[in-house]
Amino acid sequence: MLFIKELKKTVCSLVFLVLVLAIFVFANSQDVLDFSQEPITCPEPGGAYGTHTKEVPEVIMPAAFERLLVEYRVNGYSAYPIGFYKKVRLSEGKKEEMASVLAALTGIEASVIREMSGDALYGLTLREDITYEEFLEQAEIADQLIGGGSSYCRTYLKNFGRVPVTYEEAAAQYELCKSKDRFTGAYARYFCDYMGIMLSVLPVFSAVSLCLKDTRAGISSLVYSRRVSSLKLILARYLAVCLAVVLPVLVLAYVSNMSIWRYYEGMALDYLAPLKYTLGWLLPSVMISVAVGMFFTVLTGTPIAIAIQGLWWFIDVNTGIAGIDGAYGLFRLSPRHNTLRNTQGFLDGLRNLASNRLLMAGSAMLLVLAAAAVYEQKRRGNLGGSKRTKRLFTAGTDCDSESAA
Amino acid sequence: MEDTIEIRGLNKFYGRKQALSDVTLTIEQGMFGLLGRNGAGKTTLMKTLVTLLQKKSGSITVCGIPIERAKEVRRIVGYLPQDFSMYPSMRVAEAMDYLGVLSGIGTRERRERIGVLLDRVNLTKHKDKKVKALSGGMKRRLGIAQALLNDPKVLIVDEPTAGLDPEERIRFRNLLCDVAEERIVILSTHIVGDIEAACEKLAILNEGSILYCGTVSGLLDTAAGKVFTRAVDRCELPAFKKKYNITGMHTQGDKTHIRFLSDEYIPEAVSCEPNIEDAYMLYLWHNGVKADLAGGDR
Repeated sequence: MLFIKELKKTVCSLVFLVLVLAIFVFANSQDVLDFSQEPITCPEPGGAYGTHTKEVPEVIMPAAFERLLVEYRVNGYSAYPIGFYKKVRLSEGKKEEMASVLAALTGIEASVIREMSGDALYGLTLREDITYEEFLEQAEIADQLIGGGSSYCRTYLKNFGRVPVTYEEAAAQYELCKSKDRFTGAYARYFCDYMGIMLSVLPVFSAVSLCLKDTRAGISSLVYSRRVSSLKLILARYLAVCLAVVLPVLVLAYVSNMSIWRYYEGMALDYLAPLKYTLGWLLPSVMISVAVGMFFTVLTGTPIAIAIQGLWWFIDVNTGIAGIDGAYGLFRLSPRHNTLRNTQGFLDGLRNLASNRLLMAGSAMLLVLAAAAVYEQKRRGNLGGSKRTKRLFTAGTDCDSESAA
Repeated sequence: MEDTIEIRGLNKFYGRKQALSDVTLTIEQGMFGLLGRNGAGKTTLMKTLVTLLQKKSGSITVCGIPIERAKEVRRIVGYLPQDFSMYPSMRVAEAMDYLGVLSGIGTRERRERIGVLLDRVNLTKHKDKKVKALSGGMKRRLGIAQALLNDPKVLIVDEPTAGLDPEERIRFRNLLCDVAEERIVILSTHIVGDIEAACEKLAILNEGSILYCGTVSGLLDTAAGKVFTRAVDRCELPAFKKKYNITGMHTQGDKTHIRFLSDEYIPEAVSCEPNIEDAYMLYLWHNGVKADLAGGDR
């Protein structure tokens, strides 16, 4: 009964309505509500099947070398040291060291390269006898000179290996999608990739709003003095926010997925894929976001959780760009799989993904238990929170103990 | 189960500031008034009794249950906090239902009690109104109804009549007297009239210490022969204010009729029957708050 009451409180709030609207607008703007223009079809021989990245030294080396020449010429290197874009300009000393890297790659004296300017640099070519291992070695030196996270680090270097997908590869991908994803899985996964971004941060607003409602209405002491246990109350509120957020997302997941069912008549589709992916992929993101919101709001009595979760989300989104087609790191807030294909990549990363989702869900439950413990202490007058922080964020409608005395 | 609240040697600190100092009280069934100035420690004592604050030392048992067993205490205590409010957009019956759920009352019992209580506080016809649409008096009545939801053995009401108009205040006091017939009701207030009209026993709290604990008549006895009235010229008034503690005055023509306190007999003044306000002021005066009585003149 308490859960129903808290659910009603959550759903009837303006914050929640704005949240649902934001989710809908985002999903619509990213074209993941209607996949009718993107059916996964069986490849025909002789067609074009797009491109993908592959570690092909013959493709990677010239492409990366060409990019290095361009960046060396303007002395401006793009890098993502902690996931964020950074334009790096090398000092004179480091520029000379970079010339040595080019010398090792081309076989021309570093002093000659240093003297070259303008388009003359573009006349340089890779040594004919250079091996891929040597190239990787020099690329690593170049990356270190730039400060890490450059296009020449091991992670990003493979992005230079963009090659056309062959018919055989396209056919294999299709068969894998048909047998493992049963088509609907691929669409549900793609939907989750986008929605995960929003659901890793938006639910924190609802959680904070619900937790601050007592303070704003000035009824904290009224609630504190009731018989209900702190764990039961916090858990009811937590589950209410999680369910309230997940339900509309589940509806959108089905709306999105149903848009392609008609293309696969007679085929064995997985009609539960939207449900499975919503619960398995998105729910843990919602859980951790809500848990962070509740814990820090209960602890401080302020909306500081929004800043904390927002920062984590910002870093996570930016670091996820590197592996946008399949990023399943253990500590990812929102896993990425920004393609309808790459089923094999998903299957390869499934163990990591499962570990990540379990870690997030487990951490969320621990935070909820911690929030209940803190709430119990506050109920007994043992934890007051920082008055200065409270003053910064709240109108202070609630009488605190000391002033009441 | 016992029918008393026993407080022994209670101390409470906020940092270095002592909010309650060696408070010892026995509160029995019926209306018990807790009188004191703002900041005297009334709310701290109330909050300690409803397990919202931890004591530093001393002991409290509520109807035989040590205060440390918070969950059991919460089961038998009803609380109307100072400045009672509720979620503004909730409807009256809905708010009662929510608080009933928080009190762990079953669905059927909750429905029955909400009906009975709203009827008792004359809010039945307003049960579908939003809380924000209620007047101040209605809100307080909703407050008392919610505090009675779990049929508590102890009802603690903190400054319930502050800000109410005289009619609402009388109605509210009568309501409290009604419910006090079957339980302990602690009425914390700085309004002497509330205590006078509703309580048989009271305690006076000042700066965290109990100045007086006993019956209302006992308090009046302590002030007997120490309250006087006299008519003075306006020009004499400032000097009089400095010398005596004035508890009331009104002007008629050139003369000002004053009511004042004095430990010594004043031959030129008329001795009169003390009321609770006089007795209360006398206690405060004896504890160093003389200047406040004289309207701030020091």
